[in-house]
Amino acid sequence: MTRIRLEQIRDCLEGGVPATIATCGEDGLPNVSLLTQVQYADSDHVALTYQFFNKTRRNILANPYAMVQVMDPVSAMEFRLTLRYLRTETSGPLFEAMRARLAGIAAHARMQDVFVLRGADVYRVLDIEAVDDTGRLPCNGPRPSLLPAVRQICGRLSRCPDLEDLLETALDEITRQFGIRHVMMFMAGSHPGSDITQDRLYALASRGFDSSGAGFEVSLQDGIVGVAARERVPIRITNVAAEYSYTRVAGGEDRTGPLSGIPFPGRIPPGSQMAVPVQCGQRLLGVLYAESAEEWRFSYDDEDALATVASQLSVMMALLEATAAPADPDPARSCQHGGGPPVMIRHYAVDDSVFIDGDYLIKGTAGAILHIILRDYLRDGRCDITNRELRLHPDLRLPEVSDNLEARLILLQRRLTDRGSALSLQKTGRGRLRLVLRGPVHLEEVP
Amino acid sequence: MTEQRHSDPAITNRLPDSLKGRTVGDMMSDHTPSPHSHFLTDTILSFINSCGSIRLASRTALFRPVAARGLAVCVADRTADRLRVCVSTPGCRPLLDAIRDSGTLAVALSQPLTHRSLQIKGRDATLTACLPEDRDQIEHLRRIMVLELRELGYDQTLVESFWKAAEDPLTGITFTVTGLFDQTPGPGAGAAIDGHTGPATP
Repeated sequence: MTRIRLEQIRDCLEGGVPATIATCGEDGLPNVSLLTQVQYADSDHVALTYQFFNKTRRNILANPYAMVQVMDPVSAMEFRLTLRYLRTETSGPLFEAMRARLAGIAAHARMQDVFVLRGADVYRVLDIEAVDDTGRLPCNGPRPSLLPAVRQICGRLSRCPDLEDLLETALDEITRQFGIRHVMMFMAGSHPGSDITQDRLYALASRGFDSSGAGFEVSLQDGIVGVAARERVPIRITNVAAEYSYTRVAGGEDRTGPLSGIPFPGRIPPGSQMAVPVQCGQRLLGVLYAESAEEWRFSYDDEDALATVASQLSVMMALLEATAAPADPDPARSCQHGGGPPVMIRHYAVDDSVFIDGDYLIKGTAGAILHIILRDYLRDGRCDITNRELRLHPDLRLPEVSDNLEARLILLQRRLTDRGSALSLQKTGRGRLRLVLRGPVHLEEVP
Repeated sequence: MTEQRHSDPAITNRLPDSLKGRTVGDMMSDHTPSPHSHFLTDTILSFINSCGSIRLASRTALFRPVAARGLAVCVADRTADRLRVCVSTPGCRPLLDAIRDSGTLAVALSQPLTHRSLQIKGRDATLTACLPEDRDQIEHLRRIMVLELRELGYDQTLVESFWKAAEDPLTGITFTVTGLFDQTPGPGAGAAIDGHTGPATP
């Protein structure tokens, strides 16, 4: 009989039905217990939660063999996994991925105060056997293979000419091809002038939310996106897990980004969440985030599909950055405003935060960019700017490599769009932007 | 001694009307409680009678553990602390082989709605036939599980498929209880309990 592969029964490892674990102590007495979570690690390994120093734990340390029986949550087919204990991980990607999932499972079972992960016990899978002995395997029901969709998305991404088009295409295609209605792209960033690289992530574009959420920032310690970025591992939570979520609760206070003050645009507490790092080599570029109101929405296959798209996205982002086209020549030198009411701008030098007509807009590098553009406009009437000029501008202090300028400009454009029509930045060519003003600008400088 | 009905209102309230009036003893094969019964108190029997989630373990001659799922736990001889677990014969062959090897058995019982769980340790396990009335106990526990799992939001197809093994040929595993352990999730899990307290509530 063909050996059953772990990938064929991953739906059994979603935690929908608690598994059974049998162990045996040195005294020859068997022990049986329910298992909250069996995590797929790779084709030959699973990880089990270590929550309490109980009999199962003592047995495993004395006699490393275990048998776990799991059930497919749709077909009720059951499988026996013969395992051998290898090691326990108490930090790192596997541990954090399991901790996040356990948080969702615990909340689902109303056991948040009881289920706490102390370690991820890694086991080698020695054998997999179907309980009913018929050789049948669980089918995915009506769920189609995601491979054709992944291929199409990757093909489309490879033809994008610039970062903005790349991100728009990625979000559109993820929504369309994967049927994921709520998706958001976060970019890795750092505080301007900070020696610490990539200590935060900011939302750049999204689909399916009330607003774009552009500028919503999280630290590497905050929520599912922060953990995915910090540990460089996909995090998938199949149930509501408040401590990993950013959503505002209806009637409650806004859950604003801890760094930017811009609220997360979601209003429905997600039943399922998924965050996949976008990284090129060792460099973190961002995080793709998806959520659904439905519990158990995202499977191992969805995680694989999004991770594959994230991989292609990262390669394209790095490629576009390395081959950024020079700006078209001869930018226009002066422009007129639209003749509307004055636009009151206040800039705080301490953190480069910018307020328009009293409302917060942006801070950090994007705020510094807007300040430079407005200052130059007020000084000599210029409204056309090139990326190259900004990149070389001494006041902006961008790093020489990986300056993320294009992403910052997209963020600035999105925020201006979200905040109304007082001013905007319009793309006028490759590497060129034009400042469009509703009326005369008054720039107040605050040290 | 007065026969106990289901002591857990969370379970009792969900029982079908046809089962609500029945005592624990009605559904057990031994109706005579005995002062010599060390473990099988009314409290424990009531709990056993309320748990449709039955997980089993034994081990081979080489101390390799084996897991399986049980369909019902019935009293074989209350005075001697003997229980009988009914299992699907084709679905539990490795477990049955292990029991022939070692005569050991561990049984974990849990209530999905409350998470209250109990582990029963046993020795002298032998393979026996299931009695005709064991089918009643399987049906009784199936109804409890259907109600509980439905309340937890499980798909009806899954719930029904869950018990299709009850249609298979059955084997009984009769064993002597040697210990009871609280297995309700939490730091107290694993503590030995006497027959009068039952497993904790999380």
